[in-house]
Amino acid sequence: MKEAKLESLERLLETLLAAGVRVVGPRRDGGRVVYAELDSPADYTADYIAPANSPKEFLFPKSETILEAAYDAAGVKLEDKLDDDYPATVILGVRPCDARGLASLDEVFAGEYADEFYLRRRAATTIVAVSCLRCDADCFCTSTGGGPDDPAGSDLLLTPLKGGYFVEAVTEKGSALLDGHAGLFDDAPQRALRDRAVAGVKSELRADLAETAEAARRFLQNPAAYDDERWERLAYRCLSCGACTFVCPTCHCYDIVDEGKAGASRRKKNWDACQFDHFTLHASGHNPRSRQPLRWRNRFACKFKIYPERWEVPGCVGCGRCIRVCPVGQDITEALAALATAAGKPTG
Amino acid sequence: MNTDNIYAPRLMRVIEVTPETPDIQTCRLRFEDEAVAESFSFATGQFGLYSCFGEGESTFCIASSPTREGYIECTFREVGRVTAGLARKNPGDFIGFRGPYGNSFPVEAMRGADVHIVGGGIGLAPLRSLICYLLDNRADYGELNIVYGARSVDDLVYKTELEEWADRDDLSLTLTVDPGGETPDWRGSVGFVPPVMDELKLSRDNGWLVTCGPPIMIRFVFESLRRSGWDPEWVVTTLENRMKCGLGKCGRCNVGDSYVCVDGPVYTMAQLDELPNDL
Repeated sequence: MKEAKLESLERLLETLLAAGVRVVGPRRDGGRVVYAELDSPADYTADYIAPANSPKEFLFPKSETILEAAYDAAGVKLEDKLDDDYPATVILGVRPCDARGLASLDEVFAGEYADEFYLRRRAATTIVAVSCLRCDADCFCTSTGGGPDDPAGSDLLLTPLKGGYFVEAVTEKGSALLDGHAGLFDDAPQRALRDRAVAGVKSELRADLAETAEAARRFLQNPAAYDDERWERLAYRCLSCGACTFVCPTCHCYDIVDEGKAGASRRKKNWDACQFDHFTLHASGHNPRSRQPLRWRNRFACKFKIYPERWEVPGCVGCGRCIRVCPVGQDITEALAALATAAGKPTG
Repeated sequence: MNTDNIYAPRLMRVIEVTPETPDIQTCRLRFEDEAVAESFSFATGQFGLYSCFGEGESTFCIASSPTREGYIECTFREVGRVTAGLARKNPGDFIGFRGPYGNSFPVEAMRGADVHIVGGGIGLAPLRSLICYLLDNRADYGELNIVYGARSVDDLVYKTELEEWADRDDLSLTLTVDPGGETPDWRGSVGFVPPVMDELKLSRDNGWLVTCGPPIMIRFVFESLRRSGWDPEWVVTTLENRMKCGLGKCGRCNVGDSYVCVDGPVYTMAQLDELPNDL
C-alpha cells in the first residue's frame, strides 16, 4: 500500500471541511478531549491520549430512528427510516485501539442479517487513525494484540514525526483519500523514522498482561468456569451503572423501543447495556443474569470469548476507558490477570 | 418498505382472538400483502418479533404449525407495555411481524421415533406447533405422549385443543395442575409436571423428549431424564430468552456464547450441557 508524508494536518482538515465532508476528530470539551464533529481546523487538538468517548457513536448512534408508523382505525402506514445515503464522513485522529474496535463492530453488524444502518454509515466513513506516542497507566493495547501503531481497522494511518506525519494507506479507501488530495502529501520519508517515533511508547505500555486475553479465553472454554468462585470477588464492587459499556469501542448492546402515541410513533434503536438488571429479565419474572457478578461475567466473557470465537475479532482492544470511567475502580485487567492465572498461564 | 432494513416488520391483520386464560390469549394473524402471505414459510419451533405500533415489539414463538397454511398464531401473556397493546387488538386490527427467526424442532430426525412432549404453562405454545405438525404427519411418527401442566385449571392454555387431543386414540394426553390449583370437577392429575412425567415411565428407547415450560420445570425434567439415563441428544427444549433484535446482535439472549435467537431457540440437552449455567 501507498506511503507518503503529510506536512500539515491543518491543511488536510481545511480541505476536507471546505469540500463539505463531515469531519469528526478529537476536540476539547471542558477539561477533556472527545471525538466530536469539527467545525474548523482549530477545533482539532493533538493533545490527547484516548478521547473520553469511543468513535462508535458516529457509526452506531446512541439513538436512531429505524421506522415510523402512522395509524388510525383504518390501518397502519409504515415509513422506513433507512437512508440510501449517509453523509461522507472522515473520522480523523482515531486511536489505533479505537480503529480496531470499529473493525470488531463491523463483524457484529454485518453477517447474515446485515444492519444497513451501521454498514451504510461505515461505507460512507473513512477512518484516519493517528499512532500514539504517549500512553497512560490504563492503556493496555499491546496485551490484546494491538499496538500504538497498529493499522487494523484504519483506512489511513498517520504517525506523528518531527514536522509532519508518516502516512500509510491501509485500505483502498485510504489510498483514494491520498490520491484525491495529492497536493497535500509529499514523498514518504524512511519508514524507520515512523518506527522510531513509536518505540518509546511501546516500551512504556504494560507488558505484564501479555497473553492473558488468550489465557482468559481458554479459561472460559470450560462451562464450569462460569461458576468459578472468583467471579463474585472480581465483580463485588460493580454498581451495575453500565458506564464501562458506553465508553467501550466494541460494546454493541442495544434496545429497540417505540416512542410516541396517539396516531404516530417512532421505533428507535438505542444503546443499552448488559450490565442493567432488567436487560435479560423475562416476562415471567425469571432473570438469567439476575445478580451483578453474573452480568459482569457476561461482559467479560463477551470481550474475551464471544467476540474472538463468534466473530473472530478482538472484543477488547485495550483502550483502558472502562478502567478510567469506573466510579468504583473496577479494573478489567485485574480480572484478566486473575483468570489467566487460573487458566494456568505460563509465568514469566 | 425498504427490504434492506432488517428491523422492518410486515403488516399482519388480526383475524381471530382466542382467550386462553384470564391473562393469556392467542391471536391468529394473516399477512396483509398477498404476495408476502404467498411467499412466507416457516418451520415448527421458529419465532418472530410482533409489533404493536406505538408500544414496541415482543418475541413469541409461532404457536401454529406450518402444516396449517394461510395464517400464523401467537400466544402471549399480558404482562407489559407491548403485550398490553397487543391484547387490545381486535379482529381486523393490524400488528407488525418480522421473522421467522431461529432454528426449529428436528422433525426430520424424529421420523419413525416415539415423541414425548412435556410442557408447562404457556410453554405449551411452541410445543403445540410441534404437536399439530406431528398430528398432520401422524403416520411418520411412533407413539405420541403429551404431558402438560399449569399452576391451576384456569392457567391451562389451548383448552379446546386439549379436549380434542384427549378424544384422539393416536396419542396419550396427561394433564396435571399444581397442588391447590385443582377444581372440584378436575379429572386430571394433581402434582408438578416433572414427578407426573416420572410416573408415566416414558420409554427412552427410540424416543425423543421435547420439553418447554418455566426454567425451573425444565431443570427438574432434565434432572429426572439424566437420572433415568436418557440420551441427551434425544432430549430437546426451546429457550425463550428475552430478545430485542432476534438477529444475533443486540446482546440480550445469549447463554454463554450461544445466541438463542440465531443458534437456538431449539437446543438438545447435550448442547445445553456444553453451555455455561447461564439460563
